[in-house]
Amino acid sequence: MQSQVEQDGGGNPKPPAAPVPRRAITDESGKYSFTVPEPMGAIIQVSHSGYLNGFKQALKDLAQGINVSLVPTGVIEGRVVNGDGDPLPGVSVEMIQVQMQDGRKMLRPPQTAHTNDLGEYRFWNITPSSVYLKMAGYQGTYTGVGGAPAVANSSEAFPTVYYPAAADRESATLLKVPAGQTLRADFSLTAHKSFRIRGVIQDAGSYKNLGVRLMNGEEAVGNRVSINSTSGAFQVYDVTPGTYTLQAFSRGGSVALGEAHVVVDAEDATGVKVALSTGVDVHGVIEHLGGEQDSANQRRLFPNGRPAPAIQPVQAILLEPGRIPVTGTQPPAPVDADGHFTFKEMLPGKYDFKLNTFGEYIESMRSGTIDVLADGLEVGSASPEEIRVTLRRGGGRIQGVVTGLRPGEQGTVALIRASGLSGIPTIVQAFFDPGGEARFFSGNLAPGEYQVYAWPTGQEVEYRNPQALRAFSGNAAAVSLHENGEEQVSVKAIATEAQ
Amino acid sequence: MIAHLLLLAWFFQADPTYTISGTVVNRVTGKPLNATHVGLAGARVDPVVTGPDGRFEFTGLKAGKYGLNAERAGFARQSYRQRSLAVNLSTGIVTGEHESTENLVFGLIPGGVIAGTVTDTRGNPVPGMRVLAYRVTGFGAERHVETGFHYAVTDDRGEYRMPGLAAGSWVLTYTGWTTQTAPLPSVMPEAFPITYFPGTTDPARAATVNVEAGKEARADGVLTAVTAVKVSGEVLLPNLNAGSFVDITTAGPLGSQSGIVKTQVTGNRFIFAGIPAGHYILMLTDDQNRRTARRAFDVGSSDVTVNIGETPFARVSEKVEIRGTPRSPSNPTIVRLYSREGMQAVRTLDDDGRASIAALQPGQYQVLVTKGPPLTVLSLTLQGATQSGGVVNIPETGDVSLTIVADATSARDVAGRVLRGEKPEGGLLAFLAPSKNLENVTLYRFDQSDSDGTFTWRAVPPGDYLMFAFENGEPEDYTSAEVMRGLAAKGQKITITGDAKQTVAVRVTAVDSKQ
Repeated sequence: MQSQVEQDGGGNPKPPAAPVPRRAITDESGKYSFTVPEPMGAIIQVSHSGYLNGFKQALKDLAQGINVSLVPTGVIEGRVVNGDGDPLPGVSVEMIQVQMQDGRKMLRPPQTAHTNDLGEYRFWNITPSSVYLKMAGYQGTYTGVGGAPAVANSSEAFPTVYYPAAADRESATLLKVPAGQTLRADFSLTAHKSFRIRGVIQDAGSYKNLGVRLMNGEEAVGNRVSINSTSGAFQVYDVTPGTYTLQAFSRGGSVALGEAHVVVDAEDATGVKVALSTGVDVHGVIEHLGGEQDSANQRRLFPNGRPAPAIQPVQAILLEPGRIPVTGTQPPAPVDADGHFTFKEMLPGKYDFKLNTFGEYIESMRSGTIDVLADGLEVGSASPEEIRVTLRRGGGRIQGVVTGLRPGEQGTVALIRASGLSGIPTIVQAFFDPGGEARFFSGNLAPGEYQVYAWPTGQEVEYRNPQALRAFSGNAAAVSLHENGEEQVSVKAIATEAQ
Repeated sequence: MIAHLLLLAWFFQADPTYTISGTVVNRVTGKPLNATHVGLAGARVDPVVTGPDGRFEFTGLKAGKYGLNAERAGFARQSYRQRSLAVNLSTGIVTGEHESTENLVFGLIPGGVIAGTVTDTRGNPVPGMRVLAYRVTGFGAERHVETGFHYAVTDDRGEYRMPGLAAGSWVLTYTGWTTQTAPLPSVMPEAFPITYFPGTTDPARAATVNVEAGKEARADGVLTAVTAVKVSGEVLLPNLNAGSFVDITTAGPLGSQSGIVKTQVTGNRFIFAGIPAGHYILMLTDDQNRRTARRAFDVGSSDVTVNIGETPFARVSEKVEIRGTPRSPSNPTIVRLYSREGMQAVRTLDDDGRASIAALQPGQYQVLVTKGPPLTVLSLTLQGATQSGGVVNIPETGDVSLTIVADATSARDVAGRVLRGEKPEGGLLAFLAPSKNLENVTLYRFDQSDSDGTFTWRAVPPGDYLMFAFENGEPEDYTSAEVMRGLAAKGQKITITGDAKQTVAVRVTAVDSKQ
C-alpha cells in the first residue's frame, strides 16, 4: 500500500504563515507517521491510484493515530464484436454517469474510451455510481481513430447502441458500478447501411473552431465529421437512417450555435444549411411588493439600521447541459438599481433561474404564462418574454423535527410549495440538538401549500420529479402557510436503499 | 453489306478494354479479407467492397497505369504491394495487350503490436505512464529513429498496447509523471525517471523491440522511483514575447528526442515541479514556435536552478547562385536544411537570392535547393560552420553564412525498367547511389517498379552512379555510405549524362538477405 498523506499545522498558534503541507508515503502495512513538535490538529488527505481521495480532520490529540479508510473505485471493461464475432477496433465507447443535482437526475458529460485492436475497452477509477454505457460508433478524424485506422469510404456503420442492446437511453440498463468491483459489458454490433449528410455552415469565415455533430434528443450521436473552415462546407459520415438534430457550433471567441432538422432515409442528405447564432438576450425585471413586514426578521437580518443589501446577480443554470457542445456556464446577470437584468447571448436550452433575497421571498417568477420558478424556461432562437420576478415581504416560517434518523446523522429537508408542474422546493438541513432531536427551520417562505419530505443527508432523492416523490407520499407532511405565519411539523425520514 | 459489317466491327473494336482483378488477403496468413474497400486510382470508378472470398474486379479499363489501394477496419490504408507500413512505395498496375492484370494477389500488411505491463520495483502497476515507441531505421552507424512516434498510456493495471505498428525494430521510452501516475505531482517527493526498455535510464543500454507484421511483441518495463525536485530558472534573452515556453526534453537512444514537460515563461522566469533525477536538455521556444536556445542540465537530489539563452542558436544567412537557365523560372528558389532528427529550416529566397534563419538548432544538416524541381548543388561555401561531404555542421551558437552554387539545367528525370533475366518485373526497389561522395544523401534516388517493370528517378544530377534493384529492404537501409561500400561490387555502373532521352535497364541485384 502506497499512499500520499498531507498534513497541515492547523491548531498551532505560533507560526503566522500559512500551514505548510507535509507528505509521507505509507509502508507495506499502510502505516504512515509524522513527527510533530507539540500537540496539534491536522487535516489528513490521502490519495492512491484506484481509490477515491480520503480526507479526515482531527482536532487535537494525534497520539492515538488517525486511521483513514479509502473507498476503492470501480472498473467497467468489455469487448465489442460484429455479427461475425470479429473484434471491432476504434469504436468509441461512452460512459455516462448519472448524478443527482438540485433534486434532478442529471447526466454528466460522457467519458470516452476507444476499443483497441482486439475490440477491448476499459474504464477505471470510476466513482461508485450509476452509469449508462453507449457504443457511439467511429469518432475522431476519418482516417484513423484511437490508434486504429477506420475506413473512410465505408457505406456501413454501427448505429448507437446502449447497453445491453437498446436503441435509446429510456430502454437501456442503468448499470450500478459498486466500489472496488469490475463490471463486464460486452457488445455485439450489427452494421447498418449508412449515408452521409452534406451541407454548409453559413458565414463560416466569421467564426473560429467550427464543429458539427448530430444529436438524438440531448445526446450526441458518434459520427466522423470533416469541415472546411473557410467555406463552412461539412460532411457527416456514418449516418444510419433516422431523424436527427444537426448542430453546428463555434468555440472560438464567443460561442455560437446553429441547428437543423435532418431526416436520413435511404440516401445521402445534401444541401443542409445551418446559420450560427451567438444566442439571444433574455431580459428580466425584479419588482418589490409590500406585504406585512416581519419586523423581528428584519431586525435580525439588518441590525443597526443598515440598509438592505442590493439584490445579488441572478443566476441561470442549464438543465440539459448535454445539449450545448461547450462546457462552461452562463455568467450571472447583475441587477441594476431599477431591478432590471439581462442575460447576454443565451444559447438555446432549458434554464433554471436563481436569486438570493433578503427579508423577502420570491412570490413568483414568470415569463408570459410560464411559471419559471417551478418549471424553468426554455430559451429558443428568439428572446422569450421578459422574466418578471416579484419579491414580497411577510414570508412565513416552518420549523420541525425529523424522526427516523440515526443518532448523529444529518437530515436534508425539502419544503415543496405547490406551484406549476413540479412545485418549488426549498432545501434546509436538520441537525440533532442536545435534547436528541433532529431539528430544522426555514424562514422567508412564500405563503402556500407545502409538502415536507426529509431523508438522511447524502442519500439521493429526485425531489424535482413529482413521479419519483409519489413513492414517498407516506412520508410527506402537509403544511398550509400564511403570510407571516409560523408552522410546526414533524416528518419521518425517507429510508431509501442503502448506498 | 460486307462493307457495313466491317465498319461496325471496326467501330466496336476501336478501344480494347482491360480488367484488373484479384483477391485481397492478409499478407501474413494468406487468408482472404472480406469487407475491404478497394479503390482504383487513375480511373473514375467507385471503390468495390470484397465479399468473404476477398475478390475484387474492375472492368472496362483503357490501356494505362493504375494505382490500387485498400481500406479495411483493423488495417492501415495501403496500396498494392506497398513496401512496408512505414514506406509508402507501391507498385502501379499497367494494363495493355501483353500485360497480365487479372487474379492479382493484393496482400494487406497487418500491423504489429507492442504490448506490456509497466510496474515499479515493488511490483505495483504504474498507471497513467506514457509509453513512446520510435521506429529504428538505417544501418550500422547510420541507425537512427524515424521522426514520428506512436504512444500509449498505461491503464490501472499498468498495461499498455500499441497496435498498427510497422515491422522492424522499435525503441521504447517510458516517460512521464503524468497526473494519473502521481495524483499530487507538485508535492510528490518521488517520480519515475525517463526509462528506456527494458528498464534502463542510460540511452546507450537501451534495447530494441523487434516487431513482426501481425504479431504481438511483449515489452514489460520496470521503473525505479527517484527523488523529484523543482527546476527553475530565467531566460536571459531580452525582448522575450509572451507565449514563449520552455520544455524539458531528453536525448534518448538513436537520436530519439522527446519533450517531456513544458511550461510557459512568465516575465522571463519559469518553474517545473516534480522532475526526477536525470540528464536533460532544456529547450526555449519563442512565441512563433521557433526553437531559439537550449541548455543541457542534470537533476540530482536537490532543487536545480538553470538559466537559458546565454548562447542563442546560430544565425544563418543563406545565398544561392544559380548557374544556367532554370526550367521553371517562375518558381521561387527554396533552400531546405534538414536533419535526420527531424529538425529543418525551409526558406524562400528573395530576389537577390538571399534568406536568413534567425535561430538554427545545432546539428548535421543536408542541403536541398529547389526551384520547382531540385537543383544540383555544385558547391557549398561556409563561414562560421564546417561541412563534410555536403553535410553542414551547424555549431552551438554564432553567425553562419552559407553560399550555395547550384546548377539549374542539368538534373533530369531518368526513366528505367527492372529486368529479371530479360523479363520486366514489378515490385522491386530500383535504387541509385553515387559512385563517389557516398555521404551526400541528397544524391541517392529510389522508386518501386510498376507491374511492367518501369520506374522513374527524379531530378538526377549528371555523374557516375551505381544502380541496384533490391527485392527486400527499405530505402533507408541502403541510403548509407557504409552499406554502399559493401554493396558496390554488386551495383551496375551508369553515367547519367543529362540527356533527357536516356533510359536505363536495371537487373535484379542478388543480395542474400536484408543488409
